[in-house]
Amino acid sequence: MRPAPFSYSKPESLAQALHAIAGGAMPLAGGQSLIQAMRLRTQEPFAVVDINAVHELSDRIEITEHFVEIGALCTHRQLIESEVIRQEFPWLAKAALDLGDVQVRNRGTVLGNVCWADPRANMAVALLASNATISVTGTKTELIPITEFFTGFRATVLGPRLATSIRLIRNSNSIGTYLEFARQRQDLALCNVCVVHDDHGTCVSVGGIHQRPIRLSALERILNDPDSTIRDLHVQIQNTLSKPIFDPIIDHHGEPAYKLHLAAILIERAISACLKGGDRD
Amino acid sequence: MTKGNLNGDPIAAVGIAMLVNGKRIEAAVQPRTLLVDFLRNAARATGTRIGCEEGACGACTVELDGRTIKSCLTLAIQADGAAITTIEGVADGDLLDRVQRAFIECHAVQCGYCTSGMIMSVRAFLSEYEGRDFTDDDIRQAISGNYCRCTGYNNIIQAVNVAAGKASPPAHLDAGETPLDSWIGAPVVRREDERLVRGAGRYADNYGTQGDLHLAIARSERAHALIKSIDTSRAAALPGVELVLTGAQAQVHWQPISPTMDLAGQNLPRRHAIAVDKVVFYGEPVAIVVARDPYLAEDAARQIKVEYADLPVNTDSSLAVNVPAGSNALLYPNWQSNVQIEYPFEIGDVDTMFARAELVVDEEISSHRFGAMPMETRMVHADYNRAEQSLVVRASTQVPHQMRVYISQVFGIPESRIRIVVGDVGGGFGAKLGVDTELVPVLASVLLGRPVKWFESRSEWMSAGPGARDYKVRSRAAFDSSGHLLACETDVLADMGCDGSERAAGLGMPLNGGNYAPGPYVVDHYRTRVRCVVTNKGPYGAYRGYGKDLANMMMERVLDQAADRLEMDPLEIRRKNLLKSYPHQLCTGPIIENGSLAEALDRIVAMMDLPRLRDEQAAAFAAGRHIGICVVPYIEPAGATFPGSAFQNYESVTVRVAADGSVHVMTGIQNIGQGIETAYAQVTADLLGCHMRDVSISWGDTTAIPFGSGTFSSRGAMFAVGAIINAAEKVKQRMLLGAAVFLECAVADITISNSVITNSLSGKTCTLAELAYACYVQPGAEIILADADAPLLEANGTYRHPQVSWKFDELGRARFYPAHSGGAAAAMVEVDTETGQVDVKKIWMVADHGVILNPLILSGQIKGGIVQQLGGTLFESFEFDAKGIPCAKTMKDYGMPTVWAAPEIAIEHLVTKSPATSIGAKGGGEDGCIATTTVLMGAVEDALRAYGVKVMDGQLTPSKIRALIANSSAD
Repeated sequence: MRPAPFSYSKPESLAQALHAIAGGAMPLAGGQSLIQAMRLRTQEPFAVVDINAVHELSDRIEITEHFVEIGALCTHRQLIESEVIRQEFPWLAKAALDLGDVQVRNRGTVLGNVCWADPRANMAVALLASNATISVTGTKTELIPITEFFTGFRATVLGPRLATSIRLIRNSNSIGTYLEFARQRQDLALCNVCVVHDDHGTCVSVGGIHQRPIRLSALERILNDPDSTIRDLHVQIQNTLSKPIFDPIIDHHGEPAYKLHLAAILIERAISACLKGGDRD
Repeated sequence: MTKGNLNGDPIAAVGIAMLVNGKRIEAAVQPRTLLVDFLRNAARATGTRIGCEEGACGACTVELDGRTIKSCLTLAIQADGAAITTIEGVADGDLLDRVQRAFIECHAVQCGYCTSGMIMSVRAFLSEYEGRDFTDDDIRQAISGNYCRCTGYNNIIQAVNVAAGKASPPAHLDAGETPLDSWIGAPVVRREDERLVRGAGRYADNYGTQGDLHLAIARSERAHALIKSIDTSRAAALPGVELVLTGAQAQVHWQPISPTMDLAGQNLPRRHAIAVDKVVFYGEPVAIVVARDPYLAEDAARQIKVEYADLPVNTDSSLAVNVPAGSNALLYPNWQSNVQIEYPFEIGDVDTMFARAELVVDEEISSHRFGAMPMETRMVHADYNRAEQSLVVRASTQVPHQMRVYISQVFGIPESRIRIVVGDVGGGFGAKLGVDTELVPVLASVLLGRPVKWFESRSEWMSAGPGARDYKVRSRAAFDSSGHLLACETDVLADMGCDGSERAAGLGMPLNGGNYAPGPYVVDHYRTRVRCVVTNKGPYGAYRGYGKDLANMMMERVLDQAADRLEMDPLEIRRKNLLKSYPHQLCTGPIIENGSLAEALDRIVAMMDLPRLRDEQAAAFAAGRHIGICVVPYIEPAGATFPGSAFQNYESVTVRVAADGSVHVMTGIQNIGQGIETAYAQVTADLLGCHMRDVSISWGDTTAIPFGSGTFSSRGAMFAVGAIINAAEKVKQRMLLGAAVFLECAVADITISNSVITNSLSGKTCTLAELAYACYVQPGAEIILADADAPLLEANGTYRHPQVSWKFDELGRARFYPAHSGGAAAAMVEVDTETGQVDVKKIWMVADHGVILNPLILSGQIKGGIVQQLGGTLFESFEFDAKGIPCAKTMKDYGMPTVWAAPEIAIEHLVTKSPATSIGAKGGGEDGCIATTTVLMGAVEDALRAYGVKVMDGQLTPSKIRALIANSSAD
């Protein structure tokens, strides 16, 4: 199948791009999710704005003393190849490497994967546990914590605005692990988990068990309680996931209960991996 | 989201330009024009192929500004100003790239459809790793975005290592080299590969003319409903639309779909290829649009609005089978039930033996619906010429002549005015034996008198392409206390979807299962009942394995249970019951002509070093890991032929030696990637005493080849080879007579070797070219071939297998399969008991296909089949929701196995010469699909022994395995 007709623009300024978006155009960066959806005609935008020529947007990963900032046009490949990501955020490189395939990673953008907001999107889940902040520009520019970014199934707070970069806090003591369970390696995950531990505590994010990628704050509180033990952990994970607050993705690859079961196993494995030092380059 | 721009202002075309393989290509495109369409159409870089529309299959991979991308997930307009390299830009003129050469040497190419994209990915990988070492997992990482349906990936991994200089290719003969003794048996690299690695394969979609119109199909959005009304007005009003037609409007122009099989006692749906008043599956064509370009046609088809009145939907065969006559849940109101065919058979005294048994095993076994899923979907270019009242159809099919028959039956066009042309086919596996939707573009061309093209999208295939397997079985077996098999009984319920014999050719699969369940064992008392039931799913198509998988599963799963309960070694119970003398007539009729089953079982155990593996398994278990092993024998019946079907017991060939001594073989077997161009040239070269390079093979053009039955049931190695022998012997006889005149000696004194003909008395020689020229021109046939039966070096040959019998004997038995390969298969798996995921460590096979024509090709066939069936067992599934809507919309969702799925595979061969032909080869296309599910089920069961679970469902998905464990007492 082929996309429905649409008009196309490729502006050079952010203002022009935002104008198009305000008029209802869908932004196109790498297009690895959007063009697929347009081909299957599950998305039929009447206008597409290609943001690749917008001079305010970058494909670079900027490194400052306290932050790493991933530009809107940075591809998964660039992320995987980035020295600073591999050294300081190896779980992000792992999440990117488990995503799609070489061709998709050559073209698809990290921020695009986040904004597409599939509840199992590798980068969404990995960045969620990393306490990233998303820079969003509309009439003004705001920094939105990623924990407030996802609102539902493939839905975000963005509206007629553009995510222009994503910022990570550098912390030399952080450890993290990204794990996913897919039928075959690099398939869309049935469930994925990221655990990141730093000076401020441990963060746990999960994809696949809810309509959006989520943080398990109840579990995090327990993990960050110095009195909890590993023995408790198994029970605590089970308890956390047995609460009737989750709404797993419905598909033909397993019952909701199975997805929650997978989540429990992956979380336990990821925490265990973190205790052994987490993902490494 | 706002809905498209269809009815807004027309969108202007935009001029773009890019460098394609160094050449500047300019064109005006719509913003929505995909890069892959630009490359194939504007740049004529047709080596870049379309296998899906979701960026999963990778057949469209090209390099854009130095990076591989999927050109189906990129807009042409995004590549404005870019430099693109496609497969056509890889070779340096005549000189192939190292990757292309390695793909040929390692037999990493079969149908060739994925090859272009695969090579692009491998080249990018090698240039990235230039000067750095890499592992096989690095290779897998690099090509996981490129599906291959034929090879099973192992040879591709080897080719990458060879291209990098890290490994040696397998023993092979390059084109131009000459074997020491005979061509037959030599590991000659495939001659078709030179074009396939260059992206120059001749697939149907490559063909097109300026005036082509494009067809799109509006398909049913209900699985079972009456059509109340169809509104085509909006579609018809769109600019560029030339024809809009509903099934009711089309009905007067054609006959119902022509069946592939109409066996005695079966029901036929007698449906038109566009539904007339009711729909029986989601995705059934309900109306069509023909427009100037495929984008417009699709837009218009989506504007067709259909009003339905819902009917009860059948998705469960065990319920559908009980729907009574007259119910509105019947798919076909004129049938008495939803049963398409019921086949009962009984021999011996089954009930007495069961009553006498010391052990009865009684199991319910099942297998889900999955299917062939070739990389190339269906494609038709139909060109009806009104002035000549003639029709040319270019298509992707396994059976060009049968397609001609079907089209003639449906349209009433004389076959003498129909020409079917088929070049390379991007995979068939049984799925391209029927002709249903292919009729639709033909209808459009007939009505319009213009060329009409339809290239099925993968979405269409996902709902309307053929599925297979989908069995529910009860299998019982009776044993004495020593494990002797006294009797068995099978009851098969097979889900045909909407139809197993008209649209596609799957109906025989479960019948085969019932007939061959006793298979490799001595069974005198047997009863089977096979019921093929229609439901509201897509058609049921032939698929590699064709029910032999079912036969194997029904018997072997029960034997494992029996061994368990009798506390016997599972190999021991098999050895005890295995047939050991040949020929052996199965109780159901077929005669196993010869074989080496017992030897194969011994050989595979030695090859695996089974005692060592058992030690490893025990050590792993002690360490908390769950490893399982299973070994089974199997038989592979080949050369099927059924009365009342397109599957006939003959093949024909023309062998022609031209005046320049070149040899031309024309075969009715269709090339679908199985290597016929190479194997038949090897056979012919040996028979005529010429060099293989002198032999050309033609196929696929019904005006140029003799009537053949086509490609199915692993028949070429017997049927085409038999026909070549027959024709070549006639030609050879004339060559000898001519040579005796030309070289002035007796026929008995002539020897022919390597295209040189020698008078062994005088030592005088001539070349084949000189002899041929003498026969045809100077001095000519009246002198040189005066004593021959015909004055030219050309003859037709046919082959008919003597072992076939369509006559039922007094016990009600016929022989539809004349020949049997066989051997043993084994698997080792590890199960993650927490997640339920199965990791296949290794697959072994010992296979006996008689005399091997080409060992590279044969092992390639086996490996490919193994990974196909493994994919079906572990990942692939056509699931349906309660409304009968397919759950998997894309190939990825369906679960196509990627390179990550390919386990290590070890194969050894035994050779028992087939009595079918003087050459002695047997069929070898399906082994991998026959026992793979069985050994995986058995190995998983073995791995989970501590949990005491039985694995009787052939769908080994993590959630199902996990459920087995969770429901066991031991979890």
